[in-house]
Amino acid sequence: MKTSKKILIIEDEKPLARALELKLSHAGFKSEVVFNGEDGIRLLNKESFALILLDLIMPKMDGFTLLAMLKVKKIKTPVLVLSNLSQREDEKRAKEFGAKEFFIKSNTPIATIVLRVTELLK
Amino acid sequence: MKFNTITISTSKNIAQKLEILAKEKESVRRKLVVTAKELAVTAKEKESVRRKLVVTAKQLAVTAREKESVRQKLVVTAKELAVTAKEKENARRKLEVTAKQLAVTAREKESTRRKLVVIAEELKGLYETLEKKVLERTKDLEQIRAKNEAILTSIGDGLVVVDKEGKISYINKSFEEMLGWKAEEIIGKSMVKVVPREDLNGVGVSFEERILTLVLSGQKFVADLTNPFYYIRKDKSRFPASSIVAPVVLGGKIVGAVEVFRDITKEKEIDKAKTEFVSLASHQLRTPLSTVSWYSEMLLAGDAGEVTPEQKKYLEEIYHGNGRMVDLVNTLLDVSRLELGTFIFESKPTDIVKLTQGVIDEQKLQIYEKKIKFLPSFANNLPAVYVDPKLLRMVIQNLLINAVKYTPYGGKIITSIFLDDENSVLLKISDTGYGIPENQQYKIFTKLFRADNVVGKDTEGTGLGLYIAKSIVEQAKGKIWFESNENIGTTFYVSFPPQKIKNKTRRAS
Repeated sequence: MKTSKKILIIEDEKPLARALELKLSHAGFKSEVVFNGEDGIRLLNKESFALILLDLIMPKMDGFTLLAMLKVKKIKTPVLVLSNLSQREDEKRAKEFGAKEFFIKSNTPIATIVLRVTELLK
Repeated sequence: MKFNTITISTSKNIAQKLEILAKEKESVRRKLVVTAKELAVTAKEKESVRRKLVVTAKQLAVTAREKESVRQKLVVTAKELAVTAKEKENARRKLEVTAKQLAVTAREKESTRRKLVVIAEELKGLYETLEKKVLERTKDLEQIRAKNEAILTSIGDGLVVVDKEGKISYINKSFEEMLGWKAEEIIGKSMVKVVPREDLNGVGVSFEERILTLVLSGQKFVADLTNPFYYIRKDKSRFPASSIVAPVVLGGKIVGAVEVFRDITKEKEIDKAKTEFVSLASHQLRTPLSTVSWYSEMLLAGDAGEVTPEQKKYLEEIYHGNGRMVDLVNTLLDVSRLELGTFIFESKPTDIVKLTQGVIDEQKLQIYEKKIKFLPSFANNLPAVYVDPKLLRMVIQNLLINAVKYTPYGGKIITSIFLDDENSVLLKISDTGYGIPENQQYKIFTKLFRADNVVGKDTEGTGLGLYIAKSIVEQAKGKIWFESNENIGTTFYVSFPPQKIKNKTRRAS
């Protein structure tokens, strides 16, 4: 199936990271989970991913910084931001930093996210 | 020979006599000539005298005529004198009367004089009292003036008074402290020139656009600046401020203006802190809600194995309850942003029909389930409305969800959009629902208010939807109102006036 497509989940809230991992695996995707931006960058330096699911508010390195670093490092992996920041400015800022899409976790069923991932990685 | 002699002698005599005669004749002739000459002269003189006489005669004739004329005049004068005499008599009589009257007046005057003396004495007393009072009052006024001055000087807000040319006539101590200018440096100078203003983007405000200029020219009456700006100090540094400018009106004319302004650095910091707090709080609240939402969703989807129908029912309650909590967090966040004024309005020309159709599609299931007869009617070629589409969507959503929620099974909802008589785009949503009780209609847009007749029927409402809708519509310069009869139905109206403003999102073409 789509096992070759690996997804990087960068999310500090462990139950949410776990839920995403589970749901994506049910949909046939392999994924890797890290709990902060710093670990994310470290991993991205070594490996390439088909897609990144990125939280914004995280310890050590937040999502905005990570997006900025991706730009600097010219890493073109598409990023879907999954955040509970819900103000329009947050979405705007994330997109300015290069995020492809922005989902507010509490307002979005996990099925919708998986569906979107599937569409993008078709 | 004698004879001869005699004869000769006689002849000689005669000759002599003849000679004498001749001589005498000659003398007489000469005399005659002289006399003739004299006569001629006399004749001339006579002629001259005669002429003079003629002249004199003529003059005499003239004189006679003049005399006659004088005489006639004298006659006239005599007559006139007679008249004058009569008049004099009259005048004399009048004078007599007047004299009598004067005598009476003199008596009255004396009486008046006496009265005046009495009054003068009274006045003197009053004057002295008045003098004393004036002195006291002047002292009071001086104290009041000093007090007023002290109040103005020590008022915490900056204060500037300008004349009708906009020249500074008074500034207080706070003005001096906030802007770094001393009164003596700027009194008599133009306020607008001395203290430049910048908008929040740091763009200088021109003379014509300055509120002070507008107020002085009568274009604005009282300017209440809810939009903050920057004032530039003497040292060119700046601070955020807000101000109120009001004209000074005397006898119906603007004679100057008073501006009161304050440094809002602190307020801005507090606002920012509040916004950040609300944002962070909502983020923190959402995180556990997301967990509950996703895990109950996964359980329901059978991701952790089959669930029994009973378990499914419980899980659905959890999922639904959580969803309500999420909605509440979202709504509260909207309210606090609206109230803090931190809602960002990204207005652009918006197709209100398309937006409404989108909202209707979302509600189709509920409409279908309640067997509600749904009648949309949209006019063609409506102008775009200049609003924030996401926020307008929120308004329409609120109204439509309410209509569906509060219309009983089998009811009817009419949604129409058209241009009204004033060329405003009008959205109308009518239902045949429970209606709003008349005695509670005035409270319907109040925060957290829910009408009595629906509180029991639906426990999930927050009482925030219409409050938010009204705030959004009014921010977009639109109007929202309703008509309602209990148990007959409610019609909500939202109207947006025709667009005059420049289209900010459109690029110059």
